[in-house]
Amino acid sequence: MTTRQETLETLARIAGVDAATLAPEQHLVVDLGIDSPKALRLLVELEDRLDVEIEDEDAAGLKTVGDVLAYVARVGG
Amino acid sequence: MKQPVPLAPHDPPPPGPLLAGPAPLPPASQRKRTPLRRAGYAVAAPLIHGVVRALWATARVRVVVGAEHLDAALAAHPACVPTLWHEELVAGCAFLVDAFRRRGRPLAFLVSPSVDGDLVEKVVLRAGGVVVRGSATRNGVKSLRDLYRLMRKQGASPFFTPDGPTGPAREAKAGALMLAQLAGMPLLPLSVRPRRAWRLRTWDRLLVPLPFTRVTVAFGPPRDVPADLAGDALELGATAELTSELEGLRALATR
Repeated sequence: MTTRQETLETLARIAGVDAATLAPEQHLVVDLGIDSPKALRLLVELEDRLDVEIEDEDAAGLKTVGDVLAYVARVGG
Repeated sequence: MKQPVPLAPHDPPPPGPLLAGPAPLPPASQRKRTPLRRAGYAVAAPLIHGVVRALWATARVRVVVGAEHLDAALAAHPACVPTLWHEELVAGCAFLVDAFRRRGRPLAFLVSPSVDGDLVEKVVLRAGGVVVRGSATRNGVKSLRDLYRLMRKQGASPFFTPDGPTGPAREAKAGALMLAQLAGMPLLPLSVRPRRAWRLRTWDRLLVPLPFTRVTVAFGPPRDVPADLAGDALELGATAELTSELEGLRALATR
């Protein structure tokens, strides 16, 4: 499984949706209902998976599924 | 008068607080980490630690309610989130450091990344605590994640004041609940009240115990935070319950 697929699976599990339904333009809060506790869990799981520390400023830029995928591609390869 | 224009239906509302970035920064300290300051802290830390230990040794501590709850929480989980009001910080720290040291379990503290925090870190390390450098106002989300890692990897229990760091006094916010939920470990509410204390003119009216005071402690039962608790149920409902519980324990420990 690629890092992109793993990220989508993680997002889908936390949001409680099917990974196949995720699209890059979906807003994490508006479309997927990622509230504060879910966002915290998402960041922890991304950090563990990518072995990086995500600064709060970087987390603030993660607004859509596409943002998360782009971030993962940039820092996680 | 011009009326505000409502958002169109397709305009997304502002994202939730965790993804909205850190809160506006308070003015940063202008202090520098000079060699002189480092040397001063190296001398001051053991002195402060010694004075606090000596003063605390004169206190007569009595747990009046829920003495079994700390052991129950630590028997069932590697760590917990001991939680009390910010005004009880001094006596709470001293009591919990002792309680966790006696049980051979690490207690973790969130210490400001400022230069002044260097001194606090040295004192906490001398007391046997574990330190995460971070700030609830500057990088609160990252600090929660660092505390979570300490819980999971080192079994350290992060000491939390849910009305900190700036109040309002005795109104819980959601951080402690979110940390307990994320870690899958219980929050442990308690109140630690010195009978005789100085009250500082700070936002929290901090209590500084006087020598030879009696200190009364009341524990509430360990509180699991369900993984699916979210939204208003967490950020309003559960925080209101926590406020109510801590106020109840405060009343029991003040009698």
